[in-house]
Amino acid sequence: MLGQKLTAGDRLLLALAVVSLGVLYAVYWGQSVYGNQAAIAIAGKHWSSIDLYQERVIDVDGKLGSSRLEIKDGKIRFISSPCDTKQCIHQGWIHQSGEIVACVPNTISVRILGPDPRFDTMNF
Amino acid sequence: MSLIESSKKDHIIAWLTALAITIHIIESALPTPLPGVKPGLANVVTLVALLLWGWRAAVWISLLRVLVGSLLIGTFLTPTFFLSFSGACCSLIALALAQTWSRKVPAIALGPIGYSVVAAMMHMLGQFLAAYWLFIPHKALFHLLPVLMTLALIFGMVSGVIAARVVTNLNSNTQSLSKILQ
Repeated sequence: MLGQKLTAGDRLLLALAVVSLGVLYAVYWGQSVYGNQAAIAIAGKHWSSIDLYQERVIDVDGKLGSSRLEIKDGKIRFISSPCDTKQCIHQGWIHQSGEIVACVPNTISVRILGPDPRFDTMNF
Repeated sequence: MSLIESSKKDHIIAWLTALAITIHIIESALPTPLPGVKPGLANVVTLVALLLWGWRAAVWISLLRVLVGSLLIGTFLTPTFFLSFSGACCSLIALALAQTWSRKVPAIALGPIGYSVVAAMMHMLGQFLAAYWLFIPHKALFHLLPVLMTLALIFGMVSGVIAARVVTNLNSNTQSLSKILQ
């Protein structure tokens, strides 16, 4: 049914579409933009930039107390924090350039730095 | 006596627009797995108009649908409206180019499915770029693009098949169609 309705132009176009989809997948899913540094801020002020390939656990002192961050294989996560909701811990590992994990009650935020770290989000 | 004379074609456009708005509103009530993703069946009407009455009719129907649809749903001048509007503009421009392609090179002229796929994919692209520029200027958004475009391709083909059916049935069932066409 579909075959009869397709003109030669349609076939050409569909082929083009499939090829461009392939290119899109290759470009955006092939390799993700891994950042290799993270910037940690306390109460909105830059505190320190750290190397994400140096495996370690660090303690950061925020408004409520000390939050513990784990760094491993280019990724970073909260493993403990003195906040009530623990959303920072539930978010888990982050690794992509521009990704952010934050413990808002403890005023600590971590942002992965990458080739293009200037992005922000506008929301309604 | 009236100052503004409406032609038969205007009436057809009004009817089709009403139909497109109805589909648009019904679709907006459907839950979607991803924001910005919906089958876009209202575009079937735009396509039928393009195939039977030309690009101008399609432009009227598409833009009026976005405007009136957003007024009725209550999303006029909200992000949803701007996304819809940019998508519609992008797909109309693409349809104009596609039609020029079909006319210049009749050997590889597009059929309903080709037009539909062009329209759906460009609609998605326009909407996506508008979302990126205006609302979420974050590179991570581009990870969604391949999936969104794949869905657009699938929905475009479905709409194309439906539009082809509609056009065939209209051509065989409506004897007066040839008169309306002029």
